[in-house]
Parts: sequence; C-alpha cells; structure tokens
Amino acid sequence: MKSASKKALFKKNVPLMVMFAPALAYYLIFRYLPIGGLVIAFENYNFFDGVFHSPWVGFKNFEMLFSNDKTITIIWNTLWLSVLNLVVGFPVPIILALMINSVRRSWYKKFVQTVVYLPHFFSWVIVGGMVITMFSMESSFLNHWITDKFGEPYPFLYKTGSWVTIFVGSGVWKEMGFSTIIYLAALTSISPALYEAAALDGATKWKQTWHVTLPGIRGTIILVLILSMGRVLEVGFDQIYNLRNAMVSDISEVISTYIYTLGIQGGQFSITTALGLFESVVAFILILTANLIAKKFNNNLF
Amino acid sequence: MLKMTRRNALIAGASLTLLGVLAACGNNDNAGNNAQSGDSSGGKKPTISATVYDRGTIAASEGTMEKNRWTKWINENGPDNVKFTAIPRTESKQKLNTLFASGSAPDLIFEFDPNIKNPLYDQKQLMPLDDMINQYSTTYKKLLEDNPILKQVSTKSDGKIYEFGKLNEAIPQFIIVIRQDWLDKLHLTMPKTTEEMYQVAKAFTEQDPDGNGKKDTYGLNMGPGLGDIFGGINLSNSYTDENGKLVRTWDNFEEYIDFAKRLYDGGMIDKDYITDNNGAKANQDFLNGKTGMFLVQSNYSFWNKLWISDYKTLQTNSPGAKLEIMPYPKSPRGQFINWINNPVQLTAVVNRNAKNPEAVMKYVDFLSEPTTGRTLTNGIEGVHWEAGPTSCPNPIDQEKNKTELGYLGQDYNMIFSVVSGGKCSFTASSFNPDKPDEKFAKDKFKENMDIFYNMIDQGAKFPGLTHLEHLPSVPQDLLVDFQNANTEINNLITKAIVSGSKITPDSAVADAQKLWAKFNGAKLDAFYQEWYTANKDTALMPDDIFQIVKDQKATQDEILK
Amino acid sequence: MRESNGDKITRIVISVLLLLISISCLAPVINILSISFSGKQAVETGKVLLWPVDFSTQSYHTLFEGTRVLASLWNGVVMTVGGVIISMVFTICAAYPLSKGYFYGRRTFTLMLLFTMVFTGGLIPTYLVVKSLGLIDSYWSIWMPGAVSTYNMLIMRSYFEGIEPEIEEAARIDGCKEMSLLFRIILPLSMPVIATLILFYGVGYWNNFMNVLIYINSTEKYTITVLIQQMISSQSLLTETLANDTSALDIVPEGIQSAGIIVLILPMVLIYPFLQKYFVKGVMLGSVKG
Repeated sequence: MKSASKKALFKKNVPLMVMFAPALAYYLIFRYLPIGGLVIAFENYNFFDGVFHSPWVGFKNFEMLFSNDKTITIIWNTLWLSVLNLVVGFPVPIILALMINSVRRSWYKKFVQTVVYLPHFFSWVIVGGMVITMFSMESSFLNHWITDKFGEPYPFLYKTGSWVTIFVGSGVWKEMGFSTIIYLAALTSISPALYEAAALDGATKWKQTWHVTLPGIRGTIILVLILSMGRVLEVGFDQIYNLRNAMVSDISEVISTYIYTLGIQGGQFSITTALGLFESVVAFILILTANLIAKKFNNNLF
Repeated sequence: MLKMTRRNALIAGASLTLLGVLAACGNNDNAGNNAQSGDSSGGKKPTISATVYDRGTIAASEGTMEKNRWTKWINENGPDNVKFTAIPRTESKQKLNTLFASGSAPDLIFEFDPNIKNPLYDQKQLMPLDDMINQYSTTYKKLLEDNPILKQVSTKSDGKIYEFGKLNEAIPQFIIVIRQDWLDKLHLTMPKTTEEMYQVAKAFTEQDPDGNGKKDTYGLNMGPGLGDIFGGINLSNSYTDENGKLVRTWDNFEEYIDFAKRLYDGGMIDKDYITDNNGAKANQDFLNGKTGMFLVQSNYSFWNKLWISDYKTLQTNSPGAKLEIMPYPKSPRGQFINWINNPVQLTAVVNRNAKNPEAVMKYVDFLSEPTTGRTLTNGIEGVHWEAGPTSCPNPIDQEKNKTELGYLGQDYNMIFSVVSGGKCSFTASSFNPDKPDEKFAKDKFKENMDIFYNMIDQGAKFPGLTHLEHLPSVPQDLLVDFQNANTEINNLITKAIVSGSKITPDSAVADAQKLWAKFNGAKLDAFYQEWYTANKDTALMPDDIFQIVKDQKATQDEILK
Repeated sequence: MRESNGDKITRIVISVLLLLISISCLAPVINILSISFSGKQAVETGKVLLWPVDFSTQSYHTLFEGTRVLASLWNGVVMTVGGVIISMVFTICAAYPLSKGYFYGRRTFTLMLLFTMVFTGGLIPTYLVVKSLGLIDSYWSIWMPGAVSTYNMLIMRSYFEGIEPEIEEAARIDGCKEMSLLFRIILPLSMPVIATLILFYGVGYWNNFMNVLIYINSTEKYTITVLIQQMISSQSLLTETLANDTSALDIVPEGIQSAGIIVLILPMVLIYPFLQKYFVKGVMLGSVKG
C-alpha cells in the first residue's frame, strides 16, 4: 500500500520534473554560475589575472570598508531611508487598489488605473527635475505662495526632514500605480458570492472591505511583504542621485551612491563587490526571518 | 535549513569551477575573433578593430556609427579594414570594463576619460607603443618628434609610451560675459577685482537693471570657473610649489567661501544653485535676461552657442541686451587665468591583445594625416565644402551637412592634432566672415583671445598645480579615503556658503582641514609630493601650457587679423 | 441593495481623491507633451507649462529624420515580445511544479530560487557566462539572463496555489493528465496573473537600458529606450566628462528629448487597457460554472 502510493506519487511527479527541468537549468546556468564571481570580494581583482587568479586578500576589502566610520554612517542612512520607503510605500498601493476597486463606473476605473501607471515610465532624471520645479526656493509656485503669505520661502529641498519627506513621497508617487497592478489582479480572484453574502448580512462597504476584500488578498500582501524585506538595504541609485544635494548629504549618502563614488576613479570591483555581498547577506537573513514569521500565519513561502 | 545551506554552498562551489572553464573558453574565443578578417571590401588589407563613441545622433538614413559613409570612406582610403565597435558615450566606462574583463575589447580604443584608461594601464591591459611607433610609424612619429611635450605626457611611470594623443588649441574653457547695457544703465564700469565684482553684482541685484520694477535679477550665476578666480578649489589640484615642496592652498578655499557666502546672503545668486547640477536653470535665467554676469563654458561648439543662438534668444527676451567679455577679476589670492582647455590630450590606447600592431600603427598614421583629419571633420571637397574666403573649408549646404556630417564630431579621428591640420583646424577658421552672425562670433573670439594673451603677459597664474587630466590617479589603497574626503569637503563648502552666520569661512576651512587629516590627507599629500618631485620636469605643467599658447599665437593672429 | 449614507460619502471622497492623484500623474505627461510641441526658444527659456508655446512639430521632425528612432522602436517591440514569450514559458515551468504540494524538493527548490533574488554574481561574471554561450550581440543575451524573475515566478506560484483544489480534483476525475490540466484548466483560470506578468515582463524588457548597452554591440540592434535614455543622460555629461570631450556635439535639445519620451511611453500606454480587461471581477467564477 505504502509503496503503491509512493509509486503513484512518483508518477505524478514525473511530468512536473520534466517541466521544472528547463527552469532549473536556467537558474543553474544564469544565476548560480555567475554567483561564483563573488569570490572577487575576497581578492584584489584585476582584468589581467581574471576572476580566478587575482591575488587573494581574504577579508581585507571588508576590513577596509568597515574600519571606516563613514561606511557605518552610510549603511545606517541606507537602512533608515529604505525602511521609511517600505513603511510608507508598502501600504499605499494596497489602499490605492482598494480605492480603485471600489469605483463603480468602469470608464473612470480604467482611466484612473491607466493614469496612475504612467509615472513608472518616467526616468528619475525627469522626476528629479519635476521635484525641483515644485519645491525650489525661488521659482516654485509653492514657495511663491508661501512667500506671499509668510514673507520667507521655505527651503524644502535643503532641510533634512522635508527632503526625506519629498524623497519618500516622490518614490511612492512614482511607483504606486505600478505596484497596484498586482493587488488589482489578486482582487479578481475573490468570489463575488462572498460579497453578496456579506451584503445580505447587512455589512457596509467598509465592513465588506475589512472582512472580505482584505482577507482575499492577504496571501499576495504577505508575499509582497516578504519579498520587499529582501530590499531593505536597497535605495535605488537613480532616485537618490537625482534628488540629493549637498545640504542633505548627511542623510543622502547611501550604499548605491557610495559604490558609484568609489567607482569614479577606475574599476573598484573588489571593494564594491564586497559591499554588495554584505548587502546580500543582510537581505537574505531578513527574508528568512520574514518567512519564519509568516509561517506562524501559514503564509510562508517555503 | 542547515542541509540546504550546505547544498547551496556545494552548488556555489561547482559553479565556481564551471565559471572558470567558461572564462577560459571565453578568452580563446576572443583570440579567434581578433584574428578573423571581417570584411570583404578590403581585399588584402589587414583587419583591425577600433571603438567609436555612439551618441545616438546618427540619422537612420546614414546607417549606424559602425557602418556609414565615413566608415566606408575610412576602409576605402585607409590602410586597414577597420571593424568598429560602438561605445555608448554616456556609459563608456561600463562598456569598456566588460569588454576588457571578458577579453573581447577591440584593438584600438578611443577614450577621453583618464579615469577609465589609467586603471586599464594599472591592470596591464594596454600595449606599450614605443616599438610600434619606432618600427612602423612615420606621421605620428614625426608629430612626437616635433612636439616633445606630447611624448613626455604619453609616457607612463614605467618609462614607456602607452597612449596616443593630440595637441589641442589652447583656449579658455570658461569665460564670463557681462551685461554691458546694465553697466551703462547703472553707470558702473567693468569690475577688475573680486570686490568690484561683488559691488556690481549687488547693484545688478538691487537696482532693478532690467527696469521691470521687480527685484528679480541675479548678479551672477554659480557657473563654471568661479573657484578658478580664487586660484582653484579642486582638492587634487589645489597645491602650490614652494621651493619644490607642495603646499596646500587652503586660503583659496577661504576666500572663495567668503565671496560666495556674501553673494548668497545678499540674494545675488540663485538660492537654488545647489540643485542646478547641470546649469540648466542658470542658462534659462541668463536667456531670460535675469543674469548680470554669466559664467559659461566657451570652447568648441559652446562658443557658437553662446554668441550666435543664445545671444539672439537673449535679445528677443530682453531687447537692447549687450554682452561683453569680462576678464577674470583679480582676487585677494592674486590674478588667475581662465581654465584652459587641455592642450595635450591623450585620447587612444591599444589593447595588449591586439594581433596586428603594425596595422594599428598604420591606421593611427592614416588618421594623423591632414587630409584624413579634414575629411573626417568637414567632409568631402565639392560635396560638403568648398574653399571659402579664408581658403579654409566652408560648408556648401548646411542642412545636408547636418545629416551627413552632424554625427561625426571628431569621433572617428580623436587623435588628430590641431597642429597637423594647420590653421584651418583652429576654431576661428570655422567662422564664415561673409555671414554677419558668424563674423560677430569671430570678432568676439578675437577679443577673447586678446584678453587671454594679455592676461598671460601680465603674469596671471594658472588656477591649480596643473591641468587636472595630467595629475596621476590616486593609488588604490588611498582611493576610498580620497573620495570620502572629496565629497565631504565639497559638501562642507556648500553648507558653509548657504548657512548664513552659523559657519564662518575660516571655521569652514578649519573643518575642511580636519576632514582632510581624518581621511589620511597627509598620505595623499605625500603621494602627490612624491609624484611631483619625480615628474615635475616631464609632466605638463602650467609653464608648458603657457608655452603652447604662445606657440599657437602666430596662427591664431593670422586667422584673426 | 441600497447604499447607506456612509457608503455614499466614502464613495465620493474616494472619487475625489482618485481624481487628485490622477491629475498629479497626468500633469507631467501633459507638460512633456507640450514641450515636445513647442518652439525651441520657448523651451529653452522655460516658458512651456501645460500648453504648447509657439506650436511646432520641429522636434518630431528632427527626432524621426535625424535619429534612428523608428528602427529602434521596432527593435524595442521585437525584444519585448520575444522576451515576454520566453519569460512566460520559463516562469510557468518553474511556478507550476512549485505550486504543487506533492512536488519533490519543493521547499528546497523554492529556497534555492529565492537565494538568487538576493545573491547575484554581478555584471562581469554574468557577462562571462553569456559570452561563453555565444549569446553576445543577440537579443538572447537580454532574454536569457533575465528569463525568470523570481519575484514574478513567486507571484504566479501563489496564484496557482490559490486555485481551489476542488476544481483540480474534478478535472482529474474527468481523466485530465498533468499537462492537460495545466493547459485546459489552470492557465485559463489564471488569466489575471498571466496578464499581470505579461505586463511586468513587458515593461521590464521595454525599459531595459543597461543590459542592452552592455550585451549588444551592434548599434543597429539598440532599442528605443537606449536611444532616448542616452539623449536624456547626454545632459549630465556636461557637468562630468564633457569638459574633456573635444567633439562635444550639441546636447540634445529638451524639445527633442521630450518628443522621444512621448514616443517611448506611448506603446506602453496603449497596451495597458488591453490587459486591464483581464483584471475584471468574476473571471474565476465564470470558469467554474462553465
């Protein structure tokens, strides 16, 4: 009996294994092979000796990085900005999806959906220009209005607090429409019967959202949350590079800009790889932790 | 969990080995690539590969940067079959790095940026050129013999030549133009010192020179070259020689901060200059007639942009606007000259894996010929140009040339020296005196050169130890520190300028010195000192630059007479 | 079903909020559109806001006649369509088995794939692999390294997992084998997630800039994004390296850049409404009944 079911299980597995094989091959060749290149974090890499014959320096690159208190500041900045990005940026698309979902008129729904997706296609150079137009001291409408009312313009871009708000806000604004898509797709899987039942019980829209809609997309929400944990040490280079200025340098120097600065004078492959490897280790630990927590709610990934 | 980690480790290990095998294959593969003869058109001609910048400005009707009428012309008239690889202009570092790392870089690489080429030398990717030049070269060899400075500059620390280069026209890279109509209106004279410059800026800001009843004008923009007036504030370059000993010129920083700070506090510069990274806003203000003194890039095509198209726009927006060139004022640190275009510029290197050095050398010689230089700049005689009143090429049909020559720039002949081309390759020869607007641009150019020569004669100093591109690149172990010091001190300077009374210029400089000390500044100073002691006689120094200016003066005078 | 007062107020507040958000997203597009249709001087002096000044189509003329925009537009389409097909196939191949509780090594494989989300070999090692497979300078060098996005794969997997087991059981009783189950039941039921991933992959390929620059050597294969991005970043050269660039050609004027941006985002805007119809409620239920 037992072996029979094992055999049946195997039989069921064969087509799946055949199917999985190309995907596995893909991962081995294009993802795992290059990972070997991470050894250059422990070398003094140069083109002449290549990935495998460059002089081995062990942890020297890491020591060089972490003995520098600037590196520590930069890691904190990165952590702080990305956590803010996550805390604000994570719920907004969900709320937006619920809002769009509640619209009845289908043309309006389509219109909003299409329009909020547009900013995703602007490069940060363009968004950076728009931010300056909106918040600069001397030429923005906002500051013209403030000057008329209060006599003095406010240096939005040059004060840490307001700059961080603008930084996070512009990122959320740019990506919220695009991030909403995944929730809108998930919403389609909720059976209308559930809404009908709730409505029969006399639940208001608000209650329906709380008791039907949100639980319906809970899986997606948790999935996205776990995966965003992997990006906690990531602050996109283009975003920060196009928004920062000297006045907020205390907070705006992050890992990605640091890698860029180090790279300005030639190929600092080993040092930058070392920094990247550190980022990856932290990200992986965070993902594993998030998954462990999710396991408590039976929504774990693995 | 643990089990899986071990498995991952195993996979990673296996992948390492495999990657090694692949990398090895990659190199062999490449060797084949280089040797294969690519084209059919050349017959017996040897094949080499070379880079060319791609700026996305070529019309579809012309083909691509790798294949168009000019590459065809090169392959028909030159000694080799050249296979071009396009390098995206804005990402050339990334592209070249991957090409070199994978052993697939072309034979001949054209690149301006020393920060890309120096690491290639450090990583032994470049071929020494001495033998090639001695054995196979005629034209380029002669250029080196005639211009020993070029040879000096292209020789690296191991005593061998690694780069091809060219001599450029030595002209001011940045200038200041001033609204003469505003000066006249407010009964002011051209400022001669920074203090007078400050007073004029103040008057331009406060006395409503544009007469619109609003206080909406700026004295000046925080444009390129402002620091040079105070002797230069670039960290790797701000040294002065005191009896062979390099001394850091912190005083330049202090005077600059003090000046800029007063401008900022008085509202004489745009308070948002910090976010105007590429000067787009400053340019807009200038065109709208809001800026009194405009610091602007002035070499090559920027001259025409300023004096022909931008001047026209300015006069539309602000009728009666009149611009004059303002010589750099004398600062408390002394009289400094405008930043000068790099007169001896290294622009090409050869891949150490190049299979046919002779063919590469022959191609470089071909590019150094005056006729090649002329064709790859002005096009073909009778088709794109005819001899004009100055006997230099004059375009026949501007529109046609825009399409057929517009993408050329100097991208195919980056090693062509201005001295090889004679007077026709100087900027001033490009103006057609029959056209009023070009004649005007030419007159202004003459005026600019006269000011420039005069300042040098009067003993104006060069704003820095020497031209930035001729400084050595910081060694690997000091690099992190140097970059950190550089960003932190520059941020500090900006903060000092905009923070009102909170930071005084001298406390800012004291802080900058502390930062410099914190980031191993002493070691960096020692590094530059060592380089300077060893190389000051052979490297390109300000005296050499001034000498080149003087050497070129006769030609300039002849064109501008 | 009557609407309560509270619901009505909520609905109005939401509509207004959405309108404000929409305006904030639409205004920049209108601004760029206006700049692209304005005269050169008006653009240079910053006079254009939400309506063209000195109406002119010159920017579009220059863009279409003076650059390779049409060819690169076509390249962008080819690369995107090809890439989406490859990615979808590989993603389904990975996601479907992993969605089955009985698949051998499901946990290990998931973790293994997840691992590559955070640990990447970096540009040069990946380049070496792609090169040794002989893919450089063909679109395969873009398609293969990016064939599966683990993020997208996990989204698909979780959607597959959410399909009610009863549907599957019923199909199996009907004699459906694994493959026909996938093609006849699971995929048709998963149109919302398929549409989503087509969009995600499509946008990803369309916006791909760096990989195309690195892996593609022939500029005739460059895509529209590369062309336009290069125009936009030519501006930054002015401050960084242009100082030593003796052949500094004119920076691409803002009007032409704007025209380029419009041409660049137009296809993405046009395609979206077609995919949106798959996000309509009730797809799931309809299939169960049918």
